Amino acid sequence: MLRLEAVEAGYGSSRVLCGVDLAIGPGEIITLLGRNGMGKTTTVRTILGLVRARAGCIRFRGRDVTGAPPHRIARLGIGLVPEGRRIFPNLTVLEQLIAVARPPREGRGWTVSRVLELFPALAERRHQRGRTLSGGEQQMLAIARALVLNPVLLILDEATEGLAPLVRREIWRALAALRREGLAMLLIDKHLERLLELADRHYVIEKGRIVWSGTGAAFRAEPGLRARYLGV
Amino acid sequence: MDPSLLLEQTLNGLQLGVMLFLLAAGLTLVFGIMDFINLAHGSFYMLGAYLTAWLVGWSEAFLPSLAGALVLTALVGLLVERLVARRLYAADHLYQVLATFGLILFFNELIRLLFGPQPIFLEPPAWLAGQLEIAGAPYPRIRIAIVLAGLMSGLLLWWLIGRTRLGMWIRAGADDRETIAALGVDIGLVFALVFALGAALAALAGAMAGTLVAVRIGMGEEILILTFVVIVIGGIGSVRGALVGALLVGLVDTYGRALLPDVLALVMERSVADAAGAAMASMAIYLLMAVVLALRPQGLLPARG
Ligand SMILES: Nc1ncnc2c1ncn2[C@@H]1O[C@H](COP(=O)(O)OP(=O)(O)OP(=O)(O)O)[C@@H](O)[C@H]1O
Ligand SMILES: [Mg+2]
Repeated sequence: MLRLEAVEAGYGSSRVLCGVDLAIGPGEIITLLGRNGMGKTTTVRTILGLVRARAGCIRFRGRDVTGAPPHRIARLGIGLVPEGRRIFPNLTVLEQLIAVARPPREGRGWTVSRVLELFPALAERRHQRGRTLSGGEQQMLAIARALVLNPVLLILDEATEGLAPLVRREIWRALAALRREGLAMLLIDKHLERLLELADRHYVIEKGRIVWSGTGAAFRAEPGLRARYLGV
Repeated sequence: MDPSLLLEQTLNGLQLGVMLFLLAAGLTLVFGIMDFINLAHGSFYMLGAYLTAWLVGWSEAFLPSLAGALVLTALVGLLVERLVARRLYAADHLYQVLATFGLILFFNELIRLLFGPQPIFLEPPAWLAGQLEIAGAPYPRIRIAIVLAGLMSGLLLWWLIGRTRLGMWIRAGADDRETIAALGVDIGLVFALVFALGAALAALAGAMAGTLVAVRIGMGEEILILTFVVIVIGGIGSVRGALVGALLVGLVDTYGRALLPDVLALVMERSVADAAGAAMASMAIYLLMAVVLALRPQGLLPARG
């Protein structure tokens, strides 16, 4: 469904991605693991066209989207939960959802009222502006906002970062529910054990290259991996 | 002071205020959201006046001509956005100022070619000619119509930005254009629409001015300076701020011109008071701006607060 082939990208004169290969099938959940600054966020931004791919090719749902503008790529079916949440401070909860909602491709999709059922805490705050929300509420809103796009692929970049354990559990609960709906996901997170439970396959990125990929079982079977690439 | 004169000056002040608001709304949105300084915004004002006058001379129907002029100016706005502004959103303000100053020269020359160097006149429609009694004093209908049309445009704009999906995109784009694009909104198109809308509002103000004074080349540049004062006072990017700032500047300017000579005449000779009063009146709004900036550097009603 999504395939990156030898993708290179960077900022200014610095090259951050040096040939990333990665693939996600329909309904599949994969993770992108790696230490700080290895290029995880840059990979995500390149997929969405926010950073230009200097070489290589990105295909999504059968189309070549390399170099396409971000809104086109998003409309093809990618819901982004960006690093740092990026909530619109001056829009109310309801407005942020209405602004980006798109009709489902087929059957029962995500509507504004359905995402508010998924996150009851948000429903209570529906008329509050983004900047008045707590970190956890902002994170739920960022996920809800990506869901009302009715994507076929959800990308979460550090969705549990800086959250209290209780709120974190709420987020993992929601992701497990989305998994049962068959939504494909690309997850980036620091909580390895949770990722190993939830995901089908894993990619390890180091200095802009994929250095390992495989299933959760394969990951657990190679004890050297964690120390070498993740520093845990 | 004579109450009927005070009422008249208040209405005059409101009328200047709503015209400034129509100009300021577009300028402040483009400046606040795209971070783009458009010196040629006054050219849209001039175009609105010329196009309305031209269409009225041709069709003799005022409102359809006005509507036509707004649409045509909006299209010119779209063209300017596509060909000039869009290339300069990320550029330094100096380049934007230089490019849009070039546009002023271009539009002034274009108008000279099309309509000649002489001022032309835009007759208000017959149903707006004459006077209306307000609290016993006669007042020109056209000025009342201008105030009402300006306030209605303000309401419409408030609804558009506060209540519609386009308005949500505009506000979200002002906060974080990258994220709204990554969520599937074509923010380039939204920016172009805002630019065109601003051009149409400026054209409406120009047509209003054209019914009061001669339509001439350079009319946009004079009022543009006042418009910048308005958006600085109101808070850059804020439409509500533009409304408050515009009414404030309109009233202060009008009261100043009408009242200062009389006030000064109490303490000095009439001829001296008239000259000094006129000079001080034209400084009044800059004084107002200085006071506002000293107390609230971000303006009265900043967009992000
Ligand atoms: N806007 C930018 N301009 C210049 N360099 C950048 C920019 N964003 C990231 N970088 C650099 O690119 C490299 C990869 O950053 P990236 O954000 O992709 O890492 P990451 O794997 O997401 O890290 P983290 O776990 O800290 O989020 C880093 O060296 C970083 O300093
Ligand atoms: Mg990151």
